[in-house]
Amino acid sequence: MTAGALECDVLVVGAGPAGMAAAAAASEVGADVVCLDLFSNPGGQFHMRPVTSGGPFDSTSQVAEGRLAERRCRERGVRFLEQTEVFWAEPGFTTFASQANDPVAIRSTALVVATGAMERALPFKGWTLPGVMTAGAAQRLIKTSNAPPGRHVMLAGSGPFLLAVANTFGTAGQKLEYYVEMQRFRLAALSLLLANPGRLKEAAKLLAGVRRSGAKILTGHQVVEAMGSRQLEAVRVAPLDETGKPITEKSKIIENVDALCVGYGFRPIVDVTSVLDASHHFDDTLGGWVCSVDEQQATSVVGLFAAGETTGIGGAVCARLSGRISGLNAAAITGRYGRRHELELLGRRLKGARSFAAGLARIFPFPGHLVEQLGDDEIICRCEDVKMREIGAAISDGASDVFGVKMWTRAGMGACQGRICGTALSEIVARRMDRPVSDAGYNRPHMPLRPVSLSTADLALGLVSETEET
Amino acid sequence: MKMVALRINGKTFEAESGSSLGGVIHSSAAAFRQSVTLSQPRGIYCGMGVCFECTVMVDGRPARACITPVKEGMSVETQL
Repeated sequence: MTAGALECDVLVVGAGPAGMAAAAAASEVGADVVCLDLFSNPGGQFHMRPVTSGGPFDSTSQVAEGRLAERRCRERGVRFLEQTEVFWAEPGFTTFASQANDPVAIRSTALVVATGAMERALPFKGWTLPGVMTAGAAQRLIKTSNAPPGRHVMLAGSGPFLLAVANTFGTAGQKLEYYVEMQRFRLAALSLLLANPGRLKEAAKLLAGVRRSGAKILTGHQVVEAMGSRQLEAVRVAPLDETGKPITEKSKIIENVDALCVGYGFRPIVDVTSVLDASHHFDDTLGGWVCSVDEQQATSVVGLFAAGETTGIGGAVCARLSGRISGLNAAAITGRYGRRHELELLGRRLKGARSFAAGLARIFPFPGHLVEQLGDDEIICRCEDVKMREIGAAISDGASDVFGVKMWTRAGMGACQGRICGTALSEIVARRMDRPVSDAGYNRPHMPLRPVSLSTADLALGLVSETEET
Repeated sequence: MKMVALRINGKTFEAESGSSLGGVIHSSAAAFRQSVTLSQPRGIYCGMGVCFECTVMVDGRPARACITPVKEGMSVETQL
């Protein structure tokens, strides 16, 4: 649907597993709910819908579950706004967005932020070459345009998401040539699964999918360089020693690779909760900076709730459970109450799901130390082309946190507003200053949260003052 | 399957309606944008609308190719 000025009891930002669970729960108990999302269809990345109907992804349970969740929401009267991106939010709450360049302003009594996660990117030598992309980008290319990321593809990095992406290649019938994982599969993985037998089947299916892809599997290896003149042509990989450092003399060049898809896991998207001044904290195993919530999924701001990856990386099960809890509690603010015992049950299940996610995070720790391998000539901020040399100089000259480095060098000041380089910047600052990563701080979001045309922003802000006058 | 025709840098392409413009461009050229300061070649990176590396002009307005569904008659200009 198209918008303009809207009012509702509960606004949900994000229509992934957490957002749709929140919207469904709030609408079930009688709240008037609007749910907005950046993409063309509800579902987020997890339930991402394929372009081709009747294709290999159409029948997957992930897509079917997403369709079902959307139908449940619509039956309860949830209004969805697709292709809608929030660029500002004010307490109370008024949320401003651009819907494919059209202005939107939504007033709501309660606000649920379920904006999900993005790749926790780390720079490495040659990472700006065309053909080098995130693991998530590879998955989206296959699902949203039936386009393989390349003819000769290497998937690399660390973490369970790589298994899911390898399976996407298999399901699409696309060739994957190399699978490079930093960790060696350890006993810890097996014991975690034995403690959570419900997840055994899922894990076995994922592992079988990787083997079926026919990819050459290298565990205990790392990509040390992407090589090519104007685009990716080859990749240098190296085995890791017991301390996790690449053994340079044993590195080898793999020729004829035109797509390198790298993933080290995810970080929460916290810009909307940050501009509303909710408390956040740093937790490496949850993806870095996360929005802090209590057992009701309530943030430190009255009426503002957060759910899913925004509150810490945990996957779709945690997202659905925390989404439902946030939706029921957001509806309660507007005077619509669900059954108390359901909240208690959801809370217990969420605790169990979170502990599984924490176990996975221990098996695949985030390799922030990779920034120590960066040479002076490597670009860290892709938007503004800021190199490691300039960042090192800024720190030597007195910049003591991520914000200081930004003021000195423009790193984090470009179109992406530090979303891509932010992780690396905080790791670099912390390591050079010999302080914990949480002390390096993060970029506070500014108006606009996302690039928006001045005319759209002006019209959206005007939508609210008009209502105030009448 | 519904196909649409669009123009990229004056050349006509056919693609499935609703598929991502980023995929259509990437399939024909991995490098299609220049970085702001050093004019380095760039292409799709995050693929989900966060990094802005795939920004192109769509019908005269800047847009992230990776989150833009293709439409009949769309006119696209890339930097490279």
